[in-house]
Amino acid sequence: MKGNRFLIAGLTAALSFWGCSALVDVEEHAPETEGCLSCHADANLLQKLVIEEESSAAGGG
Amino acid sequence: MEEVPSWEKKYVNAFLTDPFHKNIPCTQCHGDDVTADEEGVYHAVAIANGDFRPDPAKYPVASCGPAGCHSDLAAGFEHSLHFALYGEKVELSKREGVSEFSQCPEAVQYGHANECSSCHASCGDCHIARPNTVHGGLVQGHRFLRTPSQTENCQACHGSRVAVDFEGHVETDSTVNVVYQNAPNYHNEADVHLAIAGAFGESNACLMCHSGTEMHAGIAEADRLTVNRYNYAEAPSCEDCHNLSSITNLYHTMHAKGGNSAELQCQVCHSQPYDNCNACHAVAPWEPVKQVEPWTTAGGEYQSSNPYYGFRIAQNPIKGLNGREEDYVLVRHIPVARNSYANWGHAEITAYDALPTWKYTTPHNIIRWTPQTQSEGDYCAANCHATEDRNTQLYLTSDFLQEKYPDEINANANIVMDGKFQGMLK
Repeated sequence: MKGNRFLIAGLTAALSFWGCSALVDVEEHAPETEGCLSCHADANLLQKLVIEEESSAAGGG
Repeated sequence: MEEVPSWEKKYVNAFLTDPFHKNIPCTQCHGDDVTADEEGVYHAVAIANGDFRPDPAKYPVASCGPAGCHSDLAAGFEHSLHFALYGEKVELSKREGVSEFSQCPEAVQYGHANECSSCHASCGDCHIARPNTVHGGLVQGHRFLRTPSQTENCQACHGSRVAVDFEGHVETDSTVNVVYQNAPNYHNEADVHLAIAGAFGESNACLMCHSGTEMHAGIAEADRLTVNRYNYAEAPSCEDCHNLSSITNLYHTMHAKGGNSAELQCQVCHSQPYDNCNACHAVAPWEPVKQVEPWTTAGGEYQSSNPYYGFRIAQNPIKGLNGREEDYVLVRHIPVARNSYANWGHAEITAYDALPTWKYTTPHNIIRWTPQTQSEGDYCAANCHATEDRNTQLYLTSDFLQEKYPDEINANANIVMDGKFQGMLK
């Protein structure tokens, strides 16, 4: 998709419609996000963590 | 609405598929904390010291306004009815006999801030997640959705008195009133506008009338002590789409705006029976965490034997506001009782009689032909006028209040229909 001028133009127009002046790079995302997603985009790990957390909050082992 | 499993409320798998927002670091909105405390609880320390924000959209300007993205919308929304709850505060103030919310008893202000405010809408409650009223949950894996979901956003809050009517989930009892005794086993139909939205391919029928402009509209400072959801400029009107002057049947020439007789609200003829409620009570005591997490009803019960279906016509309680000049309108019994806030430590509402407990309403169950408008073989007014049973069952009268709600006679004295037209009792 890189270099797809039509897509970029479309996104820019959409952003303009929304009142957003910044151009979004559709391929990149913020590197800081990786750390969060390592748990929050992994369904199995997240379920395990949440169950542990709720168990801990409830005073369980 | 079934609650989303707690882990799924934190599962943001679709975030990177959002072409507009994926470049924004999570930490920019939510704060910075990825470690577990000594108990193994993630984010707990940061929540406690205010460094982590589970719902950053509770602060529209700070969270959604920067970088020139949504600054205008966010600034307006911070002063909107959905966010700032001016309408609720105005009603509370009037019933406490004061001119502004800050003058209400502390128990009322504190109770409102912790209980009523907990379910009122942030940006995210419409564009990211289900609202607190249904205990949250991401609608689409943390995609930011320009168009809110009709069922998971709008109706999650506006369920009992809008969605049920709008989708036609009402088995009207023939005892509602005499009109419906002539329509045995009548089942409310869905609002005609729901089907129209579907025909136009609209995923959210609510937005056909309630536009984004209305939802985000800030209330001007001068109006914040008087506003309610019916008297601000962006409120929708039937006439936004329907040109009344082009409809010339006898009903309209008599009772529509500019007609020859008393002016009726459109819903008087085109609505079906709708939800009413009695005697709701605040839940408290609540836990402080309810300010950031969904509240529960563990401390009490909001309603018992509610809602129930009814249909009553009364004098217009808000006549003259924002062009609402109808003489007679539908009214809905609201569940405020003298001791509704007793659990907040406020034993009795100070000026309970200051406002009607039967409130101007616009039921979302509009159809063209209702049992009121079906009058084949009789003259057009037969369903509404002239006989004792119609008078006592269709209208809000002192006799009805005396029989069913004797404690509310004074509150509704200015809107009862006693003696308002020929054939009316009393």
